[in-house]
Amino acid sequence: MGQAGVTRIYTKCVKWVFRLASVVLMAAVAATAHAQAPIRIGASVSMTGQYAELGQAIHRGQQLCVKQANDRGGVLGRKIQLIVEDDHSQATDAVAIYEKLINQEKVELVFSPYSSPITEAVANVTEKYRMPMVAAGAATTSIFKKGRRYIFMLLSPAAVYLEGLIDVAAKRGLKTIAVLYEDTLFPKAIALGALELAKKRGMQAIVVEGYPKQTKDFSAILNKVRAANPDVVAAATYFDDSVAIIRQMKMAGINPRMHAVTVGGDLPKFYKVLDRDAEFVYGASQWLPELVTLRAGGLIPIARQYPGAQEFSEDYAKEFPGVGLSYQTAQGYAACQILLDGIRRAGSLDPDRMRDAVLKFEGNTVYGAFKVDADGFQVAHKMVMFQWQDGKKVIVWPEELAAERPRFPTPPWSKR
Amino acid sequence: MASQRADLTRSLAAFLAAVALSVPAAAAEPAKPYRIGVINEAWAANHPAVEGLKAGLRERGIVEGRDVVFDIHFTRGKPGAADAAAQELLKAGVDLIFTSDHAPTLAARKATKSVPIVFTLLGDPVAVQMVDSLASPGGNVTGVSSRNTDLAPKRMELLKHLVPDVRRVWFIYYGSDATDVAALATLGDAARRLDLELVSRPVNDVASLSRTLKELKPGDALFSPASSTLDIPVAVLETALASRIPAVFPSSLWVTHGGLVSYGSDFRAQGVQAARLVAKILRGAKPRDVPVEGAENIHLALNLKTVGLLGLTVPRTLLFRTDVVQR
Repeated sequence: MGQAGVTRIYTKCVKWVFRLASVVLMAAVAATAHAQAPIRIGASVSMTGQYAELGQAIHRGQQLCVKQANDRGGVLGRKIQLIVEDDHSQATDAVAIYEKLINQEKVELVFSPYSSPITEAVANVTEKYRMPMVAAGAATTSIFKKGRRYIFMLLSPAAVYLEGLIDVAAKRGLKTIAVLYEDTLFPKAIALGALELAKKRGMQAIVVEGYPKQTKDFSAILNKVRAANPDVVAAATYFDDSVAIIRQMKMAGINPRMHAVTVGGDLPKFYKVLDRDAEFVYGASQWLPELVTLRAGGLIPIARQYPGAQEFSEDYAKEFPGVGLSYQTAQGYAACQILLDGIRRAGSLDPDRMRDAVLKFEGNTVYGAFKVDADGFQVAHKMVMFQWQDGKKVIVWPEELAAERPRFPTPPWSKR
Repeated sequence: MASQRADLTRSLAAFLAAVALSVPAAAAEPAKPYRIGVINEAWAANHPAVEGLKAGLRERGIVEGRDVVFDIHFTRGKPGAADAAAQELLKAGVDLIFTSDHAPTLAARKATKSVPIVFTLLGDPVAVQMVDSLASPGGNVTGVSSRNTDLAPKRMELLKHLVPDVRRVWFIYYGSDATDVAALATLGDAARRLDLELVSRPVNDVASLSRTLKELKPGDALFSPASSTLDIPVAVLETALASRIPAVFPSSLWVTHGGLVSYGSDFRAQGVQAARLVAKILRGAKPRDVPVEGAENIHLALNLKTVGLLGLTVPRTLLFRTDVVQR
């Protein structure tokens, strides 16, 4: 081979080396750019409207979870960017927001909105685009029993919200109950569950009344309650109606031996607004900050069932000083935990691999036990019941967790 | 009509209880509720023995608020804290002191020779010289013995039955707990009979407890003490679950929260049983004349979830004998 041949081969080799180097360099640049691009997670949040108080509480949990994940370097080497819009507590707005987030903003993942009606509507969108969604604010069973593949339930189902109330009432020999509910998906599911539980315990429902969303005047319903004089009044509510019902029960002089509200009754604002009138009111809760330090029978710490909850409470107090910690915030946080854990275990954002990862998860989060069945329906999480006692939410059920006994029966309004 | 009759019966029972309780007091004045002081090592007021006592008194028509009030002191397992609690109760003028475990009972007995003391959760009240004998307690102390020391060999046997490969069993206890010290010989005999090595380790603070628990090796097992001083049973439970070490407990309460197996008396049931003795004393009986009772409810409890976690197989014969199965 002559000099020219050697030169030709040399030139070819150099060209190949450069080509290869270029390819490697381009791949490296692309990989670096990808590694640095944040994972965009979108959500609609009820910043205003009927669910504002609760929606904002959920959102604080999401924010804290994202901040902590980013402080630890993100997920799969990528930071997380949270993109939210106000749905004004309206399902139609939320549907439009998720369509926009997915199609225009090109978010790669979503957090859930707050409330069963909005989640139900939004689930059609997230399902269409195969977006795994851990429902942080929906406990209505039917949402998870429609063959959807990418929605997962975090909360205990609505049907067991008032199990503690019915159990305590039945054990004390109470026989009659009035069940009031906002006639929307979730409160109605709570009411139907309560009626079923009451029936099983031999209690008779003597008033069952639904009312439209945003009802302010409950006088017609409460007149029926007063006439029937039930032992127990159970109201499946959100925040505004829970306050209105308590106020108007007092005005009407309705004084059952036990009375409970559901969502909203656990918020610190509930006591601030009602003051002493909140005393003796029972509420159902999916989670309470007190669970972190509680001991069953005064002896056995149950914090093990809520791993990381102590740190969550402390970090929350630093991040949102002066803003009371409610269970909705723990829900927003835990739903985010489950989703991020799903990404890590799936090793990618592939919806089917993430779905498998979430379906296989069986364990405890800040929010308590988590395990879903093949439909994504929650089967492990447990409720607690509290009663407002001297301005504090005191867990009174189940008995093994109860630091105090229920103050029973509820005294006349003038003696609260 | 039936409900009216039931109401009448309840009212009559309550009236008779109130009358019976008011006999020692001045007949002309309304009866002042008796003040029952409580000392235990719990972290909240709802120790199962106290809840049992309240339920047992209610069953006897003795109503909280009307006939009795409770002054509850819980020491959070802190050594020495029971002494201060006993002094405070005496200053408050309690009519009776209700205790659980050794340290609170000892503190109450040291503090008073006259105020009646009714104990629960005490393994061997004679061995630790809390009473002269079970039949005739002798002083101002009587109560319900958990029979913990008597039941210890059976507990060890159950552990061996459930985990046949176990060779070494650790008994970590608070060094100043006379009940646990008194049980050592019984435990040692039981271990020898079962061809097990017993490692008994007294600890006196949380640091030494943590150090000791770190010495455990795979293949070891834990034998939990009954007393909550230094929170040892909780440390045993947490270590057992975290390190997948088999552990046996004195009461089913631990099994319902993840403990593998227990054999012993139910804490709440001891409180209910003790209510009988408390009622007798409030009605005028002297503790020295009220025999110590052995706990009546002895249960074998098993946590099948923990069985699965440890990869054990429960012999069918053992499963048939189990009273409480936690799934």
